Amino acid sequence: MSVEKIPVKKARPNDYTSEHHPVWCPGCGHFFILRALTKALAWLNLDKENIGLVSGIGCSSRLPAYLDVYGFHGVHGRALALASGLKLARPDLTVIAAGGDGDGYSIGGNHFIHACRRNMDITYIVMDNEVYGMTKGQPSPTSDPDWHSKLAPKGTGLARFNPMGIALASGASFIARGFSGDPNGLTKILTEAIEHKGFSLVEIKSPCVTFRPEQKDWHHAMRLMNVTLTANPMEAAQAIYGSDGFDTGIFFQADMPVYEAEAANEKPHSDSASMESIEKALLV
Amino acid sequence: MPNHHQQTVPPRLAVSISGSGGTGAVTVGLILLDAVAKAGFYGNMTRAFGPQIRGGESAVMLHFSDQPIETLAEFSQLHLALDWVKFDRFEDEIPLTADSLVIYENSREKPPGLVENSGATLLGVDLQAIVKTIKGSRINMVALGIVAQQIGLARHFIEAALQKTLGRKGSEVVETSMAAVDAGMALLTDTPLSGLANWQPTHQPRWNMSGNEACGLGTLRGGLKFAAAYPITPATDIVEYLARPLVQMGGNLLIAEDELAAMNMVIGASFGGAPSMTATSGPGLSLMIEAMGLAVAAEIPALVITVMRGGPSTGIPTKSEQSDLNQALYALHGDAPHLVIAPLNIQESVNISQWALALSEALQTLVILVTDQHLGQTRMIMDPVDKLPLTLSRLQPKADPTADTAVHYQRYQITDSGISPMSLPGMGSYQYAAEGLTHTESGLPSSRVQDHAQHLHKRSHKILQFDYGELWAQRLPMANAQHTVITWGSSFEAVKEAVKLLNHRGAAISLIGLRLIMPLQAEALAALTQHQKVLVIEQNDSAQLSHYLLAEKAIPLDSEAYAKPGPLLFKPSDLIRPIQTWMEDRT
Amino acid sequence: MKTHPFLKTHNKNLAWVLAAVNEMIEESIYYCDTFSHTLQAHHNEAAAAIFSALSPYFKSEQAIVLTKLPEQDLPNIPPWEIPHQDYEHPANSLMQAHYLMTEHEAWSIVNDIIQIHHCFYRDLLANTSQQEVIDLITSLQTHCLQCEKICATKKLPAKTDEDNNPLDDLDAPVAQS
Repeated sequence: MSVEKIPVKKARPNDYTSEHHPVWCPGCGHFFILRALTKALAWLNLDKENIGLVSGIGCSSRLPAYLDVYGFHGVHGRALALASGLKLARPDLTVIAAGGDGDGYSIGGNHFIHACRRNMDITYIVMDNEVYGMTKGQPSPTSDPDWHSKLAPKGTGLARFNPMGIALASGASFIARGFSGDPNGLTKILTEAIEHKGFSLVEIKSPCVTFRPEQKDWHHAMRLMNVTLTANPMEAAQAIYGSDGFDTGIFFQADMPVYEAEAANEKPHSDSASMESIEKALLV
Repeated sequence: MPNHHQQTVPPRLAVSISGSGGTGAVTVGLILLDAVAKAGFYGNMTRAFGPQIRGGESAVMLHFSDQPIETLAEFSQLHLALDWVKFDRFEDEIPLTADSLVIYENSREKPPGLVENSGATLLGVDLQAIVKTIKGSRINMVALGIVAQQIGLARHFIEAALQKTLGRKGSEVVETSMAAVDAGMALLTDTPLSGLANWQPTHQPRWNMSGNEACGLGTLRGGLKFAAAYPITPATDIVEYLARPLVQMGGNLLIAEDELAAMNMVIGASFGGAPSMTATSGPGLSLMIEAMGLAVAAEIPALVITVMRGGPSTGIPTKSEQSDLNQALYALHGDAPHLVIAPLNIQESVNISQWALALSEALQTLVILVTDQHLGQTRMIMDPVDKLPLTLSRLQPKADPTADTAVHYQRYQITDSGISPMSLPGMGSYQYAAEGLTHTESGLPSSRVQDHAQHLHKRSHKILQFDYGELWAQRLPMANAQHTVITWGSSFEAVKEAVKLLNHRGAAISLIGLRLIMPLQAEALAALTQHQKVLVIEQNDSAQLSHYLLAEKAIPLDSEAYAKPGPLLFKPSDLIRPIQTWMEDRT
Repeated sequence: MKTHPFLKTHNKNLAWVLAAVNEMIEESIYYCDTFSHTLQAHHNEAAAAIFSALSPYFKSEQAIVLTKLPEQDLPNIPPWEIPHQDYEHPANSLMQAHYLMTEHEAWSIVNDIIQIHHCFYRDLLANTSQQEVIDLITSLQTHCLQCEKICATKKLPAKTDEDNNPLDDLDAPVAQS
């Protein structure tokens, strides 16, 4: 009698794509992030029904529709809050939040800080094109101070927001920069980020062909996977503040306390026994 | 729901205590309430504060009876002042009359003019001198003894309540306190108010809880598994209460960075399958509005408890008003049908919050439970409330991934009831993306006329077609009545008592207390009131409920409103005259 | 130039070659399909047609690989692996796409992708002595050459005026949120 070979399920990237095709502008960097994400998920062989992908509003936040996982296309700026609730209620899920620079760093700025601080086991993918694309090209927190736009004809004159610096200061335990034009490096970063236990910021430079055509030059400027990983926040701060924004790789990864569901621990009593003791405490 | 009908006014006793700088007036109130409960009686306690976080002036008002009692006292029969610092702040909350007895600490200050002018009997005692004879004692415990003696409360009930409150500080503290209580009890010989001794005590179990705790308990009974909130007065007590029991029940609580986060966290947890809620008040609710619309559009069950306070803007955080009804009804942008539910008193907050959470689950939508500072923060001795036998739950698709429903799963499928099976993460083959944009049945964003109309209709239909049963209102019909009074929320108990009194005097007035305010059971209400003269009573300046009922054609066009702003809760006596006047005009 | 940290340098046996080639072709197919869809959505039917026309060619290229070893038997290779020193990802050329791209530009991008395949095959041939790898690559190259020919024919005539002066959209972009 021959022993039957039990086929091991080996996921492929296409298993994770939905029936809907992305309609981002041809040439948009987000296409490559979507693909890198499905490749990371396939490499990790995650069951797609156990993945929660939450987004806000913006071009990048259309992501959940393109994946065959449990998705949530919420309101502008609040993806991390929604993802935090989901992760706490369902610690068994792989929870990923995704959005753009405006969504995450401007309207969602407070949630960004506190999601880093909680260090819940969530992967946060920011597709940073330094512009509000969906409202037709207004300067975002990561735009250069001298970038001219209709809304700021002389540029904003404001220094760029430093998401990785903020993340480090706020307590995120995994901080990386990727480039959508480096699908291989990006896939590696996303894989590590999802695997990492704790809050992972993956800040991805992702060119906007429509409102920032000059970002096509990023292709030449980016230094691919040149960063040295450290678990020391002082060294990470130096690397983050020392970078001109074109270095990629994992800047910081450390084993730090993770905010987790209390109820995930074994519940000692049945619901009815617990309820009885709760009501008993009310008695005169 | 127990309904205590009584023909005559039950015995009542109103006591208040005030003091400043941490003299412990609130502690006395809490111990007194518990001790009176242990003696077999009922009561409630409200509080008033100065603006200080600690050490400010504070006052407690207690109302006792041999039956459950939710109304405020008409005046304070016994007031005990630990000092007179800033007492004028409490002029409205602690009404003093010629029938009041005021006992006060007289070693420092004389009573202020407003107390002297009230005509109350004044009795100064040197509490400080007594305290000096008992090492480590405080004047509030002497005061506790005085009040106990005055109302005829036996010593061992005080001791049992003290043990519960102070027991963990050690037996020495309890002994010292009891020595001070004994000194207080021995101080006066007259007992003009010895009411308790003549009342019939009950030996049935009773609960000591606030309305906010009642809401917490109700949601736990409803299967709550997740709460997120940002601290705000007067709603924070709800989540503070929930913190431990929620974890005991296998749930989780998340302290949000702001209300925008709290609401989104609730939606995220609920998307994951956990019955979820948040608690807030007007300003916080304002911040939650956008995400509340998401719960409506994406059809995610979510309960928001809003505990109204004086508004607008920061308003009066520590006091009550019914002025956020419009906000709960109308604040969402777009056509966003949702539920607005309000309990009529503290005791029923348990069941109504259980019902509210169950409805959010069953209808997969936003439910706003509206209470207020009075309902939320008044502590009450009540009969235990039986759990509502509800069978409402979230409709889910078949668990079989090969089922036809899985192959063609459409999260927002149009159904007869408007309720679509909602899959939960982890259910294979039922993946979908929840969507806040106008969408198709599968959840794909769409801006087509037909999709928009279809899903707007679906969402309003599902809450309109639902049978809410008898809980939508509390009806106290009166035979042959041509007059109907309609009210809601914390005004109900005072209105009920006023109407009862007038009916006792020979008037014929029916009373309707509305619980389900949206969707309004307009047809039912119209049928009840079509040949009636209607008066709507509410505690706000702009007659919000009245306007809403008129707009929905739920009451006759010639209906009138008696609307008065907070922050002072109606007392039954406040309402007698307005109801009488209205009846005289409308006969 | 610094060596990429994910560069595959050894153990390039037949199974690995099949897996790595399959990985590359799969990317090309995915992107051809995806870009065809988005170009259609942007009503650039001409450019969309070019991407969708190439997709079947890549699929038959993949079939050559999968006849050697069915997909489920291919070794699991890390998706970030760089198969050879001069490897470029198909994404590199696709970043030059834009929604008003001309047919000429579309053919150029498609041709670039074919060149990426070619480049990998040349590297494999140059660095292997395994006969079965050589045989496989030879048939893949033959297939690739056919694709290249199609591109070369279709790409002509070289550049139009439009390519030198790409059309501007007469309408401004549309705000969506």
